[in-house]
Amino acid sequence: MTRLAAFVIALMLVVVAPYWVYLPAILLCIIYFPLYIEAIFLGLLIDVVYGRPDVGLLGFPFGIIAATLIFLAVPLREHLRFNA
Amino acid sequence: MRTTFRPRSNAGIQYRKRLALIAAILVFGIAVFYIFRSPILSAVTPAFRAENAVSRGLSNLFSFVRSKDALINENRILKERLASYESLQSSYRTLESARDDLLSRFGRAPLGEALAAGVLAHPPETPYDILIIDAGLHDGVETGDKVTLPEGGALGAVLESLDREAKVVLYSGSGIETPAHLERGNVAVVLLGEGGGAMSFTLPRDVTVEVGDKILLPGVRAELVAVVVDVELEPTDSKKKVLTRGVRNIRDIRFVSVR
Repeated sequence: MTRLAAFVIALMLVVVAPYWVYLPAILLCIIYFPLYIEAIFLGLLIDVVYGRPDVGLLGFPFGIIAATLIFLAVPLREHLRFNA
Repeated sequence: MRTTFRPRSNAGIQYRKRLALIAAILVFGIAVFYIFRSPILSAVTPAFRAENAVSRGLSNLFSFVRSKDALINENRILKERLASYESLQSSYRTLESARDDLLSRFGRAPLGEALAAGVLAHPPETPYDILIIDAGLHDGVETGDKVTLPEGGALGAVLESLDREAKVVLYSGSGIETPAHLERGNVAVVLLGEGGGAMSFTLPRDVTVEVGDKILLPGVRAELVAVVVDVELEPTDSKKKVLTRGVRNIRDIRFVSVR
């Protein structure tokens, strides 16, 4: 439920907030939630809505970065504790 | 004989499975988002419109809680400024029609009517220097069309025209090179977009350039594209870097003209 709420909030931020708000928010979600695949869709949405379509595959930098971060967050999360 | 097998790393397999899953979702997502990019942008457009309406409503709401004296004072200043701009605009229109008349004598037809479009999203919502405007193929906007400010000043070009929206890349977009010339001395330069409305170019140190100098697009109409805001020169360098800004703050643009 929290995960879904975070996705909805992040989605709304992508549409209405400046990039320096929604990009850190997505990054936090990637770190906090295990295997936060939703970030890939958020990244791809950013690319499609705000990105440049004339650069082919490179036109999806945020989707690719989100996927990379999710993968990198897997070992990172093993060393993090979210409860006191 | 006893043979010991090396135990297979369960963690490693899990890790590779996750990698494969993420890669598969990414590839699938790219394909879906690429195919449906036009409907996706159309679906987001109402949210842009709502956000613009709300932000305008909020700014009006805050004006109610300001003091009466401050409002009267601001009103007076704005009226004076408006009168100044109106006289400037009429002077500009006269010059423009004189220029068009002169150009038509040399066989250059005046520019056709421009299409007005509202800006749905602009930086900092967009991470790149891209505007999303509310006119697209349906309104006659095509890829490559020039986009200017209604009051004059070149902004960029249409990068992608969808059904009812279009993406406009600004000349200040990161890495975008635009041939132009420096009005002072008529020196040809190549503007390099640096993002955030900023552009730069380099010049030999002997060429004179000052803050406030205008950068114009090539062509008989020589539209204003940028204004010099700073010049960086190290004593040991043979070249100087000239920093410029676009005609207007990209965060404040509400309407554009497309032709």
